[in-house]
Amino acid sequence: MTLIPVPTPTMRAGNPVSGVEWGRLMVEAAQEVFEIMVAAKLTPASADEQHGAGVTAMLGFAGVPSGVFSVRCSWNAAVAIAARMLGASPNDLAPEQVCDAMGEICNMVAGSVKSRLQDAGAGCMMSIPTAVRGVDYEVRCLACDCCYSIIMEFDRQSIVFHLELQS
Amino acid sequence: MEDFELRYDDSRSVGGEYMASIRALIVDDSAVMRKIVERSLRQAGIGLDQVLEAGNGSDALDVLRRQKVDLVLSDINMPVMDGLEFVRQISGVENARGVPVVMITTEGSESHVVEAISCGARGYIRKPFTPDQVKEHVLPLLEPGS
Repeated sequence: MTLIPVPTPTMRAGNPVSGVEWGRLMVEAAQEVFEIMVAAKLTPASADEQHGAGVTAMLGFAGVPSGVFSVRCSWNAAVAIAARMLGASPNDLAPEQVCDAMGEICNMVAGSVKSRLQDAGAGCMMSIPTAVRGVDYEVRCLACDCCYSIIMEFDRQSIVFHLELQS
Repeated sequence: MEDFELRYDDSRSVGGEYMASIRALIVDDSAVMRKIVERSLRQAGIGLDQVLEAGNGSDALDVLRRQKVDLVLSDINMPVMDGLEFVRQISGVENARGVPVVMITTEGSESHVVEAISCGARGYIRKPFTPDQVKEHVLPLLEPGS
């Protein structure tokens, strides 16, 4: 799976989110969601070591800011996350439950980031999340021109939180 | 609370007081989140006699037209009919008049809370949430005369 990054983090002057520390916001939001809903601590990781089948949950947001937020990890990590969220055995989960759980993780982390932006004067609408599962696919935001990624470790596997923004 | 069919189960107590077993309707487009909300209610010590589920506001209104419930917990951002429109229309369902509605949503801004309350919601819980937060916001609404 490949994300297409355009690493030009610049914002127009006067944009209420131009001075936002996106990386810090995403780390705080992701750690909060995982501690409360997954009962697990996320720690920073240096590299995305995902191989094989993966799942990407994503949602769009429109307003200030506008863009796409996504969460990506291996299928095994997604199953472990869903099992912990539901208090179920990984063997008892259907694939749609795993995708549903990843969609909710994406929704809650994005919502938490959004809540932290309120003081900066930002206001946007979030779409309903979507999850994609597969081995070799690309996700790209066609209208975005800057992006931020953080790589965290969950259960000794990497999980990537990716934000693409329109400037 | 005069229309509610409260059944008391002596096996459950919270803070030394007996809890009623209630019939709850959980509205969320995510089946996983519906299960998590149900589990959080149980972990909060709220006795559940029956849990009904709906995936959007329109389906939830259909459920309420057929069955009486004691509590509704609803997401806001849902397809077909969102949670705010659902709460607005609840007053038109005879079975559901006076039933407390608590919004459970990722939208945490003050303006969203104000809008939800003005639409008729009685409580507001932001995702992610703990069972203690569910208890704090839901239990007072289940007390007789609340």
